[in-house]
Amino acid sequence: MTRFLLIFLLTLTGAGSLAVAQEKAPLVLALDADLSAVAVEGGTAIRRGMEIAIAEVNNNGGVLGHQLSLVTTDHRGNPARGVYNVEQLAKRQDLLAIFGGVHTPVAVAELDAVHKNNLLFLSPWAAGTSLVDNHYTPNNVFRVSIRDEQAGEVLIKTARERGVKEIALVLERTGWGRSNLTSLSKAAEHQGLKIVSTQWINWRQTDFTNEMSAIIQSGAGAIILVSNAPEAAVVSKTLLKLEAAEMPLIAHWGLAGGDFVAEMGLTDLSKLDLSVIQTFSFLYQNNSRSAYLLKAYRERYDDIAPQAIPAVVGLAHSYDLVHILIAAVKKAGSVEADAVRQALENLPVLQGAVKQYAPAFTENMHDALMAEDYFMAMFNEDGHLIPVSDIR
Amino acid sequence: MSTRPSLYTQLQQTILPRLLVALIAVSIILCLCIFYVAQKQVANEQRTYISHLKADLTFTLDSTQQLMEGIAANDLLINSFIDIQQRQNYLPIFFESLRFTRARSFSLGLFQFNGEPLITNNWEGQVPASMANAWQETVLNESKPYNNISGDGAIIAVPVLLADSAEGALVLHIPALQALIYQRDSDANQLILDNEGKILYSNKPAMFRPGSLFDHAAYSGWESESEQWRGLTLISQAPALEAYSNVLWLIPAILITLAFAVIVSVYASSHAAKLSAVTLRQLHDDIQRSTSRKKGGTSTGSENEPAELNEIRTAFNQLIINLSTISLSNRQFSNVLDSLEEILVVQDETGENILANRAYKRYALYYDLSDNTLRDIKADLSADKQSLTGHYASLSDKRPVTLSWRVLPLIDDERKQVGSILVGNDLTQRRVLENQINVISHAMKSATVSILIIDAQEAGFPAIYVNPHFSLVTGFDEDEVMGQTFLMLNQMKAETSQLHKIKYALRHGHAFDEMLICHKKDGSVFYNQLILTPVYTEDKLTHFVAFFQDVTDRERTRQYLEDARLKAEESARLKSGFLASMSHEVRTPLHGVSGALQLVNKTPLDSTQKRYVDLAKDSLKNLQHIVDDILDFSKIEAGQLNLEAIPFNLELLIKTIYDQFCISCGEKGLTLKLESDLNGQTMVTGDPVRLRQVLGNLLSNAVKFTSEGTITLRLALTVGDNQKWTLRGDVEDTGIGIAPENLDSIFEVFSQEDVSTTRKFGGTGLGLSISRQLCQLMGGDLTVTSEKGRGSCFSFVMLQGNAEGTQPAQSLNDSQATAPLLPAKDFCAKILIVEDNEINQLIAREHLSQHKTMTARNGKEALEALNRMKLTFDVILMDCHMPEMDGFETTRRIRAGDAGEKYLNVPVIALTANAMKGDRERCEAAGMDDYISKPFSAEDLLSAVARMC
Repeated sequence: MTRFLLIFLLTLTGAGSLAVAQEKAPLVLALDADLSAVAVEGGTAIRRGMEIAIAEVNNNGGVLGHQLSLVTTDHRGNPARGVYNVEQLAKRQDLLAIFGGVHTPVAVAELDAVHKNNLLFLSPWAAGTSLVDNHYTPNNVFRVSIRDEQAGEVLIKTARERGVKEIALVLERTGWGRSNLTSLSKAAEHQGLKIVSTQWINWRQTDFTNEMSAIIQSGAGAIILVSNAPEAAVVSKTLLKLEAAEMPLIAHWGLAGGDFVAEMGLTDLSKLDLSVIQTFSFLYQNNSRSAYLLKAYRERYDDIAPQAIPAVVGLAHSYDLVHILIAAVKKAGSVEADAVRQALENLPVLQGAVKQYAPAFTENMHDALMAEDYFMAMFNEDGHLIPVSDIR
Repeated sequence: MSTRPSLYTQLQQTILPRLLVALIAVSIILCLCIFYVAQKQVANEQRTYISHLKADLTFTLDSTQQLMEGIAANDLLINSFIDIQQRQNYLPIFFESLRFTRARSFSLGLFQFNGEPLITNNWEGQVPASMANAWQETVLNESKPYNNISGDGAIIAVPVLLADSAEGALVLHIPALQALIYQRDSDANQLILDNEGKILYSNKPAMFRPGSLFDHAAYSGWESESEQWRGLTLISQAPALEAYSNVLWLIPAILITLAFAVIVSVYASSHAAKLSAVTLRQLHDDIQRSTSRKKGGTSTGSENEPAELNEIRTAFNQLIINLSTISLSNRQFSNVLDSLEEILVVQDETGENILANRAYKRYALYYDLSDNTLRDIKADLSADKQSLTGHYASLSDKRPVTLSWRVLPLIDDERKQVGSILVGNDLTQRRVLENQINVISHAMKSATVSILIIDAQEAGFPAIYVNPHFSLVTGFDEDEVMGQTFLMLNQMKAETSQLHKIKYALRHGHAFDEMLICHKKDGSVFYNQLILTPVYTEDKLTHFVAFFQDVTDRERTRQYLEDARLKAEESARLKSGFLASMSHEVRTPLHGVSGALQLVNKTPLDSTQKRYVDLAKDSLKNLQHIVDDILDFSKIEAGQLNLEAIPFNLELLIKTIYDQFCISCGEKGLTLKLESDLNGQTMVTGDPVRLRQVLGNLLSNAVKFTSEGTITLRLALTVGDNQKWTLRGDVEDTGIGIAPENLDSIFEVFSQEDVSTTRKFGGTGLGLSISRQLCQLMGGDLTVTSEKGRGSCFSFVMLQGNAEGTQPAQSLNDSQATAPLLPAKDFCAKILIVEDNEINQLIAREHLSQHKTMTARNGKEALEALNRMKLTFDVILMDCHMPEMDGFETTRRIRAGDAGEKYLNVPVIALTANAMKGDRERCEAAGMDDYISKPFSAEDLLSAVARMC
């Protein structure tokens, strides 16, 4: 009823210009991400991926006669702020879906508000297993991102392949850290590795000496690191301080969402034996979509080397997610959440920048990327992430 | 004449009443002044109390706020904003433990970014509505701390920051101000009222109950001061009598003084009147007498002139007539003029000098102050000039002077100008001082160090002078600096801790000299060396002089050097590590080959095979020498070669080496002669291994390059007075000799006399270089004299320590210095060999075939074997580097009883491929009894075992 009223009002106000009155009102894609706190690079990359995809859709005539527009809100990594943002966005009548940003704790906190208002929540960057396996029916969360449950196997495998038998975990003290404790413990048991030390790090913690000493004492042969960029820098610097730079650091992708390289400095970075789990690199994915994405990025934002694009996974994930969403809207022939959800669960094969989705989601699986889509990357001397296979 | 009132009567009648009136007036003014001053003082005292009260309250608020900011930055607190699932497990405990105030009643809350409470303590219903939300705008939107006090108490709120912006807030409310302020001892009552007059705080709660209304009227008679501050009224008051108590005693004192003054005045005036009357009369009589013989002009006085004065006038009339003829040549007058510092010249109308004082004569002696000069001066001054300054060069060797001249008219009785008076002032000293100040001021202005002078007596120490260089360095102009407080350090954003130290130094008048990190006006950082010096004038601190020096370049250089030093140390450490591993990596396979050859040699061989094996053994021996040489050389290069200083038997060492080379000389048909003079000493302190290396190298060279004749080894020990003894040695041969042009290069690395030498005699070319460096390390040198075709003589000098009274140290492995102890053939021991390398296991087992041996692959297996086996091992051979558990750890555990009591003291012999310095100490530290360096021979093994059993 309210939507009808709104359209009625819009028609009234636009009556002066017949052309405007005939065109349908734009549909809004909202992005609620960390745009100013600890994962700014991740938030910015996601926004740019969406902008490129939205421009592409709009140039091709939009969807169901609507143009798309982007509205951003900044949750700054604070779950309470995220929930507030979702509730504000829910008041919009022209909202098609909300895209989430970096940080599992924020996304998980938002789920109540998302489902209460029956909003579609698309996640290009939050790995917590429980974000998708969330016990809401129907489940409005769809994700093109790493899934911790799967990432655990890849991280542990990386350690095993380096000949390490005993490992230590460093986890941020949040829902995301605990999501990884579960997945890493399971994977370690599965692959026959022993976790000899588990250390937690708080957001904004600045001293990690005691914890790192305990890890070194424990005899662990490698550290698996699950944290955002600021804390990852604290952990890495402590490793250097304790003269244990040779200890392999196998990192979840949180540190790639912020400006980890700037916080470390290239000199210190080069001393580390650090590998980071990734899903996308312009050096690795080589298809028409990724080529288009790279070209558009360089034209719109920054004409830099493909490997120098910061937080590139966010760019590729959000770009693919917009296209997947639009394909679903077209298939549904409707912008209503229930119809689009059903269409998302029944999509045909779709070529994306990250991979060919065949299909992206099903009724029982709202995660589009799995272990086989992940790879490890390392920083080169310029501080850019390079897939390990390219280094070797 | 007798009808006139006498001087006495007149004085009494006129002076006394006026004197009394004046005295009373003075007394009244004095009393008023005292009262005025006292009132000021009392008011000041009350104001001071108020300012103390204000300071106490501000301090409490500020310190509490700082405490809260510290907690707001705690990472666990920040994390709890993110970790919404599990924060209940730790946030309440953490929150409960927080205590920021000594007030018993308080409310504390942690709030979300939108002001919703996350966790609170005693908050709901406790915090008045006026305060509950007032902080939100400042803290949550502007990310700044907030505090406020009012009738509803005090509230302090600080932001919880994430990436410099508030994501929450920590808020403290204290309802009663009474608890916040530490009471100071004071007679005055101090109160804080809110705008309705309610008492929020009183230092005498019994008298003024907090919470009650303050009744101004009841205390109208009191001395009271009040001040409005942050919406509150601060009052300090005391009863008037009490307040003025310290000045009341002055009033009787003044009255007594006054009465005394009156009595003295009456007495004094009457006495003076009497005395003057008598004196005048006498004077009159005298004048009368002295002038009675002469005639003079007459003058008459007024009607009521005192008689005495009238008479004096008459007498004086007479006297003036006499005096006018006497002119100015009075002696007293002349004396007065002569006592003047100024130059005084009196001239008549024609310009002739009538009179000049002594100062003039003094100056005229050395400077040109002739009549002509004076005339010129006068002429210049007449032209409407008040004064004239002239410089005068000395006629002799005195310094030039600067004189300032003025002219005054000389006026006679009839007010007619009869001449002029020239007055000259010497300004020289003043000019010198002015110049001096000018130079100092110029120096400060053009100094290339920043100078700031601040007033030490004003609050905040404001700047009163700044030189241009300060502006050049910091970018702050003079007008931005003048009057600024605390050396501009706030503006230059110096660190707070440093600022506190400097403020402390300023307040206590201390000097200060430290480097600060400051910011220029444009925000760029520079290192600022601040030297602060207090200036005392008559024991009172008046100013500080601060010197600022921009030492950024120096600081950068220092940091660069520090970085460079760290890198160099790192590089040396890496090199040393590389050496250690190379040593180990190279020796392990060598050992394998050596052992395997020894084993082959034990099997039955035909003569060809025997020859091949011997060839292989010789080659291996050469390879070992080469490896040893290269490692030694690398160690010297890396500065890793440290010499021992242990007492050893020099005589025995010489004999052993002589015996050894006798054999090789004999094989080649050469004669080896030994000429040794040890000056009666046997023991010396030094490094026997290295000494043996030098001797061995020189002797083996001599044997190698000599085909017939004699080799002579000469050694002489010089015993000096000090601790250092000098050992000189020569090795002389009759070999091929060295051409003169090659003598210099013979000690260079990889150098032999020429390429053909290498082809003919082999060797690495490192031996002589190493020997020379060893000699130099031992405080001496190695030199050579030679003649091509006739032979060479290598001479070395090295210092050895005094070892009088010591015995040879029974340290690990020095058994090499003595003849090897060969075991009895039928001796059989039980030996555990702990070694991970299979070849080494095999070799050791074969060499020890006469004994019972058992092997373990690592320390863990060894400990198991020792615990499990029933038989008791006599000796353990322990490899140092093994997987699972290395030899050092295993030995430590055995010594700690992990293998049972019977093995606590079992002999452990280390087998080590690491021949690096430090291994021996590590072995000793781990509790090992001996060590054998790989590759070892069967004799090495057997004799080591024999020594231990």
